[in-house]
Amino acid sequence: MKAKNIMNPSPITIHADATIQDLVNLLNDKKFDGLCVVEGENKLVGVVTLFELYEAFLPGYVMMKEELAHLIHDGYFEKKCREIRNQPVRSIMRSDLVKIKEEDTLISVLADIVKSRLQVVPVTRGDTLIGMIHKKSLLSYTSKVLIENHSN
Amino acid sequence: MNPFWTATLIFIISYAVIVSEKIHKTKVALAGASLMLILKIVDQKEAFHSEELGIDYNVIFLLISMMMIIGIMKRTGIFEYVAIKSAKIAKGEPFRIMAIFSVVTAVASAFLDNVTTVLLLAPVTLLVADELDMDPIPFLITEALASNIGGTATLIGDPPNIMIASKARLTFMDFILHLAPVVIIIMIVYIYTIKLIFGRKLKVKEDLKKRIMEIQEKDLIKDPVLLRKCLAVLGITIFGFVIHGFLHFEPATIALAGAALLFLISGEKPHDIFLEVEWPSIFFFIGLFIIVGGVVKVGLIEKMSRMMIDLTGPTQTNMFTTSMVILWFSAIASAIVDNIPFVATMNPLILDMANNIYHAGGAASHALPPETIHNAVLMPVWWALALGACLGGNGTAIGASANVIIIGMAEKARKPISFLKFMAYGIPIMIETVVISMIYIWVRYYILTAS
Repeated sequence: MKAKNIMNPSPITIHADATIQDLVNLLNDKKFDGLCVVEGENKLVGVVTLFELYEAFLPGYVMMKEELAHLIHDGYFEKKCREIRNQPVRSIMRSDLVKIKEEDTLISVLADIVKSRLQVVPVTRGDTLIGMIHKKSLLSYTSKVLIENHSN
Repeated sequence: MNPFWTATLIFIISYAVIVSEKIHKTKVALAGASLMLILKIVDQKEAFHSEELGIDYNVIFLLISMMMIIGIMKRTGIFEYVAIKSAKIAKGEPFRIMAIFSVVTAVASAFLDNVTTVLLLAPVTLLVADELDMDPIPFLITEALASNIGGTATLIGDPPNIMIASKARLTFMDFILHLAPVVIIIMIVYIYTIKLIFGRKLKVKEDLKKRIMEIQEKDLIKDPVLLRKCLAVLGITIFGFVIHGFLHFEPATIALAGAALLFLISGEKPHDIFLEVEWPSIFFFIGLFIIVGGVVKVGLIEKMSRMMIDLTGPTQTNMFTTSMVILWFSAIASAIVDNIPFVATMNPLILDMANNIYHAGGAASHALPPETIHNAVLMPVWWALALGACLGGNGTAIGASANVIIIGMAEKARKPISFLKFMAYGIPIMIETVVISMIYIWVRYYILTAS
């Protein structure tokens, strides 16, 4: 099995210049954990997950010293929501991409997912996004193989 | 090529590359030191074991030991606790917070190292500014500047002082008696200056101040037992510094004993504590000592000290011009380059100058008798070097490690401080503090002693 056989060739994406508000709406409507971020002609520029979204709420000093989060007043989250809603997705996305190619085998895809803790698995040709592997499809394929082996 | 030019070239190239910041300074210092050794400018025995040309282990062990003590101490949460407590004492009033944070930073920097102080206080400062809905940058810059001012006050406050103390065989109390008074004056003027600059701009609504007053700082103390042990050891160590001159111990002995004691009673793992030591800085010092040893040996420093003598005309009875020139030259040089290599070079230069003036160059520069090194006429020159090198660091963003740390943290917190913005505050404060130092040296060592 190759990456191209299991990927969704027309995944839902978000533009790098879309706002965090757009991102939240999309993630919430579709119940996604993350999305590929594109610009221009489907050029993959990053990925964004709930993790990056939540990180955007945290002030820098909490990243330096976690304990300080306990000292922040109640209501800070709501204030921050208003502050960041119009920021572009580009400002919070992860751009250090692990690139999966369409001819990659399933086991190498899994290696990337596990080692880099990928939440979103984009498949690319050069810089262009040509598909996305959903965790659901990985799991259903795993289940399929197990059932076939069992019946053998 | 003869050894003189080889050593001079290694020295100049190393310093130029360090200033350019193209390659990490520790790499450069170790490369330069290795070249000095491989090309046999100095041999290993001289580099490792001679007091004149070698590594100054007094500096090295003092730094390592203090880093270990502070490394254990910072785990207790005491710094964050003190910062929040101060903000509450200031009743959430922004300028008062700025002033108290500056004083806390200065005092902590005087007894601990500047980098750790700002590293621990900056996150709390960001929190407080955020809770008050204020721009944190003025708070951060005033802390960096206060840290360099405070560090000037004591032997252990700033690396230039540690280096000067070791070469000039000055004690902890010498620094307290000669530098602490002027640093206190400088701090008072500094607080008035920042009030003038920021005082009116710092206004917040009452309900925001309440947020500060409601913070539960007690939770920040994570390990009260360890904290008590740390405070006890720090107290004993500082007391040890106060009396080291009387007991004829070098400061490094005191610091090492303090670190060993804390090691024994803290229960922390040695491996964890050694991770707290800034090894790159330690090896930067080691490399520099060897490079400077090379140029001392070939006579470059001697030539430079002759130039200094020709230029400033020191005599056995008066070194006023020399101390003023060294004060300003050190300040300007330290604003532009790292003050550590600068002081590493100036120390042997001043010793050589003293040798020329008092012994017609006939004695061994590294082993001048105390009556020469501590001659009342020469002393202001040492203080001028310390004041210039420490306070000059405030001039630019790269002048002192504390500034570099503050700028790095501001960037991490997505509140970047540009080089020019830092300089806009740093340069005037540097000039102001050096002018005060100039007046202090003039009045204390030339007016008052003359009468």
